[in-house]
Amino acid sequence: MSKQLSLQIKGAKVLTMDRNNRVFKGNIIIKNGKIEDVTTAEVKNDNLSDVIDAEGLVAVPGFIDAHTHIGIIPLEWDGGEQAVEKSDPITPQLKVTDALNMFDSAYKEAIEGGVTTVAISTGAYMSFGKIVEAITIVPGQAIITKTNGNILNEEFGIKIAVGEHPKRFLETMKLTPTTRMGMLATIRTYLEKTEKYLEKNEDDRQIDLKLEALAKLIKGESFALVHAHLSRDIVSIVRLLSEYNIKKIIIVHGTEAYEVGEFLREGNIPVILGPIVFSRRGTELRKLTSKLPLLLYKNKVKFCLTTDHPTIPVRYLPLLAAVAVSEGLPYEEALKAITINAAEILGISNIVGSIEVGKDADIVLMEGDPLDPDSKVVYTIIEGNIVYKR
Amino acid sequence: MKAIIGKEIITMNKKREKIKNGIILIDENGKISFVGKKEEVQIPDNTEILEAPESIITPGLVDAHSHLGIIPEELDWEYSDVNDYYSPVTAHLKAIDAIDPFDEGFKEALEGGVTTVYTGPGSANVIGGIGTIIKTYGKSLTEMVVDPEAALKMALGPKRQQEYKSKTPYPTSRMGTVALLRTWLLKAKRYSEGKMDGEKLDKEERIILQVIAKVLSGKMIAKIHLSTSPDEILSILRIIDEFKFYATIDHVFGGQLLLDEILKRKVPVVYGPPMLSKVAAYFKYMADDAPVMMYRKGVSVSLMTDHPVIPEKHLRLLAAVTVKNGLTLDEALELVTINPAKALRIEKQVESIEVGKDADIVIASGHPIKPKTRIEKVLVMGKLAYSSE
Repeated sequence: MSKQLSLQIKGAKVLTMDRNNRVFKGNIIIKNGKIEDVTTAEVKNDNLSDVIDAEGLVAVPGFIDAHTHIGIIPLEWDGGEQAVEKSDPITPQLKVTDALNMFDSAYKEAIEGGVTTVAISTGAYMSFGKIVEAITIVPGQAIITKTNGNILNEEFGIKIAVGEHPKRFLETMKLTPTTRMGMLATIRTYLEKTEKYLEKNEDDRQIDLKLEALAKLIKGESFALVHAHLSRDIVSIVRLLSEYNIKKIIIVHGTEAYEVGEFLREGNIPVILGPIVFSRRGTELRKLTSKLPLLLYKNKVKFCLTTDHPTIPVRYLPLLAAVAVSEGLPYEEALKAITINAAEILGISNIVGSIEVGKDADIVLMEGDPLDPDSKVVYTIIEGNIVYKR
Repeated sequence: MKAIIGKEIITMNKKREKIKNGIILIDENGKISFVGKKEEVQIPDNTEILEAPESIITPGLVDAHSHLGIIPEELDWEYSDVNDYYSPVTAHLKAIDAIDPFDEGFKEALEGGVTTVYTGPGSANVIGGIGTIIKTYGKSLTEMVVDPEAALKMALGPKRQQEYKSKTPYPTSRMGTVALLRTWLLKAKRYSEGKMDGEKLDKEERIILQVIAKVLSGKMIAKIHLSTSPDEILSILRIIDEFKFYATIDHVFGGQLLLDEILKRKVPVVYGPPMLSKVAAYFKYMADDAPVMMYRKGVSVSLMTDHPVIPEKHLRLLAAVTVKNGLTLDEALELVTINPAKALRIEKQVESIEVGKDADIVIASGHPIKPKTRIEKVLVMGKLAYSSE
């Protein structure tokens, strides 16, 4: 996997996922990890470039999963809890990079499945067997990384969980608060403290990593990643964050988000939806169905799809998009939901999410329709390097 | 009489015939009375015709292992009826006594083209209870049931008895679990040979022995939960050798390492569910290419949703996962039609689109194993059970 100077992909059917959603048969020229040209014109071989004959293959932008727990909930791991600190319900200072297992086989599986960029978040995955989801109110931060290990943003977001899951978990752990009122009041107290903290000169502040982290929310440097299923919880946490003028908000899971479509649209708040295939276990998930993408689309809410890996293995992200199509979501929208829309929601659409000049050369070559199970990934390319070849 | 006309009928009969521009006739009893090309038959007068000229028609899907209607949708765990920690041997419990036919899961199953499921007790007990085979549509539970006492659930694997106070202690090791199972099988054998005075037995014990005896005589399927490791599978294969009863081995994580052993005994395997992550070292042997390897070897493989682990509706998505891992679309279709029907021994009634079988039929916009395909209409016993319109 040496760094290639130049790579030419020739004769592929290119699904660009650009603004005009152009699809054409053509060539992709890659230099120094970036897409230099996407063209239908003939490209001459030069001795400096490696060439992939992609005749009969389909080129799509590397898939993006905007919410996973790769490396922080590693596969086949019996070494104890990594992703949630259970001693304290409010831990915004916790950094994913301090617990990231780069040897988690999920990285490799992601690449084999054509997933090239993921966000990795603290907090629990949705475990079928567990009665109570292990998640605190503010479990910590989230990062964005390429699946080759190249971290794009270490301080991308701070996770805030509301609803039945943190409520029940805190109760189980004999921690407080244990009501919605209590949880919201606690968050408010912390944001209040953070504002006061920011009013002081840097030298006068006592070191407080919690408030340092929350300051990024207030200053608009990090996203508030709101773990919420119920519409009531979505509305109340957004209202609370608005009190502190926090506008960079993303809803994660968003089972009932379609019910408050107008509200989310007005606030310009997108949803990282899913996983749309999961047990409708408990009142919190009672409205979970694979029809949710269609419902959000109809309500004009911006969304992308997630596996919540390891809830669903990350490599099956395209299958979830296919399920959304079976429920009536237009095909292009489904493909957007695992490429450009995810990039836009994560704020990284200037470098990934589509096959366009100037962007990172994160490209997947497949045998056919990227959403069909019998269409295999033939090449995965990240930043111009072939990281997987079938 | 009803007729269905479609672009292609994937019959799943022995010859795996596919009929272009095919027609299916369904009689008043909901049975298939004709399958063939449109031009081969004169449609009788007063026939209700369902035309789907752009659609692919397949048999209804069969899930060989679920807890549909027993672990309810939309409610919290405390509403589950799947495991009773009453004693490690509860062969006398019946799923039919707990199935809620009004559960939303049945409706969703139809949306996914699933028309027949096995649903039964969980894996908490060594012998858990009797599972039921049931259609996903019908006026009443009685109408839906195919076989109320189809299989007896048995389970190895860790037991969680310490959380409860049961009247009988649970074994805490594999050896203890297998020994307990063997004890009851031996007792039932002796009982069925008439060597035990039934009248002298405790009533509950007598019922339990009668149930286990049905497994030994082949009247009831032994459905054996094996979810840890290949050595667990070997333990149970030895038990099957010893008592020679008909069994399916379910979950079978690690089965890919025992292809010859499983094939030799012709034990059907119900794999899954696929599409889970190995979230603990405990799941080391879980592998989504395992059903593919077993299929290639010639083992009879079916898939399970283990609903609600994966929602019943998404059985075909699990079949798509086996396609991702190497099967063709048509091969994967076997894993959710013929193979589960055979494993559950209901292949004479459902499994394929052939004359004389139940008219459980899926009409779809494309191959049903492609996840993007839309399920358009589903018929159960010839009645329209679901329509996407």
